[in-house]
Amino acid sequence: MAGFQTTDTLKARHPVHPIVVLDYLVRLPGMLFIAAFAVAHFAGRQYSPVLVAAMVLTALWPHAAYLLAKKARDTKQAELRNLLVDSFIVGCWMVAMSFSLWPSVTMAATIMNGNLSVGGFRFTGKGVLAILAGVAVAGAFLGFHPVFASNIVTTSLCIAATLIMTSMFGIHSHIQTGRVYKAKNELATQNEQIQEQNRVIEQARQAALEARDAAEAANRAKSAFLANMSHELRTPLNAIIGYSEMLEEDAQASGNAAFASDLQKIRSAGKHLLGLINDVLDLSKVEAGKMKLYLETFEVAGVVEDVVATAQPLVEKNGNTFEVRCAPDVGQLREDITKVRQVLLNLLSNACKFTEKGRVSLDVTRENDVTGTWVVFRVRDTGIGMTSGQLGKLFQAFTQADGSTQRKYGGTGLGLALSRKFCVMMGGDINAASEPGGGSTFTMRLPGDVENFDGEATSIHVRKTAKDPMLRLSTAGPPRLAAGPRMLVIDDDPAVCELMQRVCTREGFDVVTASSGEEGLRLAREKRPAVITLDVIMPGIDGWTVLTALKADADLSTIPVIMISISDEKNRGLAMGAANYLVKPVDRDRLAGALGPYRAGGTAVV
Amino acid sequence: MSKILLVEDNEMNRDMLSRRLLRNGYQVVLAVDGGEGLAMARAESPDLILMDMSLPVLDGWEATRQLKSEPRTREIPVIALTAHAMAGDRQKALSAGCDDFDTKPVELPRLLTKIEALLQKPRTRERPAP
Repeated sequence: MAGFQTTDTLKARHPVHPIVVLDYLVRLPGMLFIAAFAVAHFAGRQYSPVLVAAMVLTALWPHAAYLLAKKARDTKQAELRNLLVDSFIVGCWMVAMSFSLWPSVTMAATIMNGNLSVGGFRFTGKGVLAILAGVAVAGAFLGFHPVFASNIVTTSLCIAATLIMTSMFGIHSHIQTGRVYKAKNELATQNEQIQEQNRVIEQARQAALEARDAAEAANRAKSAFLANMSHELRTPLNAIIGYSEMLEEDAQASGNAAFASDLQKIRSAGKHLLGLINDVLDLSKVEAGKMKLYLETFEVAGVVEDVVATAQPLVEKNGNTFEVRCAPDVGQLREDITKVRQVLLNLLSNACKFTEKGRVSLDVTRENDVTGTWVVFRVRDTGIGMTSGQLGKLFQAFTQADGSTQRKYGGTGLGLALSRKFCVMMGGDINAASEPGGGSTFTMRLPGDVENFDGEATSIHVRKTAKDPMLRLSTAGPPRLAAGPRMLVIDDDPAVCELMQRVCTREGFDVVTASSGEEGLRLAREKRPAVITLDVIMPGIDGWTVLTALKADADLSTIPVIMISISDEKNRGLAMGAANYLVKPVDRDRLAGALGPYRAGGTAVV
Repeated sequence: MSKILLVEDNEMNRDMLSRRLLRNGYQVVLAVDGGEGLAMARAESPDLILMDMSLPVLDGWEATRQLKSEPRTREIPVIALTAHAMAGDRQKALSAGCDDFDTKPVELPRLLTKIEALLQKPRTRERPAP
């Protein structure tokens, strides 16, 4: 057993195979026995120097073999070579001892036993060849003079050697069996532990799925609740605003100025509250993904005029001057006009709120850059401005620049968060630049390539009920777009479909949309798109099922599928054969990057 | 004096708006749901209709569609009134055949401007394409 411990300590420095040590422990007495056989065999005869040298070499060989094997790079292979040398030595000694039966059988049996247990059948064959080689080499030098009988000492030594060597193999095999059982038990324990861990993981997965379902149900309940509340909150508030307005008119008519000013306060507080309710509801709608875009084509100048008229009283309130410059070539936009108006009004009212006796300006231009053509609205003021820290928090919901700002200027800090969300939904963005005391500039950019769509105002209602999405596209899109690679967008949210259609059409794709898994599979078969984007969470057939069906269909399995989902299950998606997996919210750059490989060269419309 | 038909199911809204219209010199007739709105439009031949869109019995969209499909009533201008949050209603209202659109709570000066604009339009105009 001490030998095994040695192995372990050796292992730490250099991995020595256990058989090296084991064989050393067997070879040491084995070779001593051979030397002893020789001494006994040749007792009373004349010793030649060669014979003495051979006996000494035999006695030394185990140490040499051990060192050779230990130093070798592959210790097991070295040890196997050593065993072949053993076999060769045995062959030599068989000849040297004139095939004397007892020593020959003992030596051959022991070495064969060793070869079998360490190297197996094929190796034992090699061992036999090595013995024969030993016999041949020794025979060539010494000649063959078989004398089978052996003297009593040799015979006794052989019997002792046989018993000892057999016992050693027996003990070794017993130890090995014990180790095998131990290893087997350890394996079984580990297996149980793994199974237990798997059970825990499975339970956690189930819990996560349940939690997800519960969260989705809660979210739906929240949306329904908010939709109801919006009506319930607005109705009484409308009455408060309306009646106070009427009383105010009465008071003004009868010259009761005190009443009129109080009533005006009630009315303006009511309107403020209504604005807040609307903002909170809008924000929760956006966050629940329920906010929809209603696209129409309109003249930008008209909206600007409209908003400026509404903002005029705000400008005058703080004694500001107002400059509006609308470029003559600004043209049309195809957006949700209500949201454009709301965002613009929000920017202007902020500018007016934070500027006193200064200048507020609105510049509207059409600008081109590598990403396309944009309608840009710049709202500048000469007001209090912001620090870079304040700028950083500007577009977060419920965050005004700081608490004191709220006390002085009012507002919830929802306006800008909502404005940015609207702009992003509409394919654009808002940025702000400012310095404390140096005024602020807010820049809203909206995609201006209205020519990608038909010039007529088409309501989303009509679009949604169009029987064949291709029909809709062929009437809505100019012919040059039909040349691009076809792309299928599968998403149950019409707003997402609309947005994807806008963005991807701009990327040069001929976009077809499907609002359900079933429709998606049908259109995939009919239209054979070059690429498919697939929403994961959909009512009815979900994205995973659609993906599986696509990949199972020999005709469709080669179409690359880009999964788009709010949950990050990229590995699952890729494992199931998706070409790519994007986590919502997906910005335009990432989408364009993912679509890049499928865009036909030269047809991209930038 | 122009006669305006106000179709509105909420009692307070109906009360407020009708009184304010009266005060501004209009003759006002009232209906509380879409069905009654249709009947009143046929019986009273108002000069203009203010139509709430979320109405019981027959909603504002359907009532407007029916009004616009009857030769006797199709010439009467209709202004749709809907809650602020439903931004898409503007599109929906115009495609249902409404001539204009305003949000609630009503801003009276703005609504009066819209009413006057429609009242002053010559009645021979074609019904706008849906």
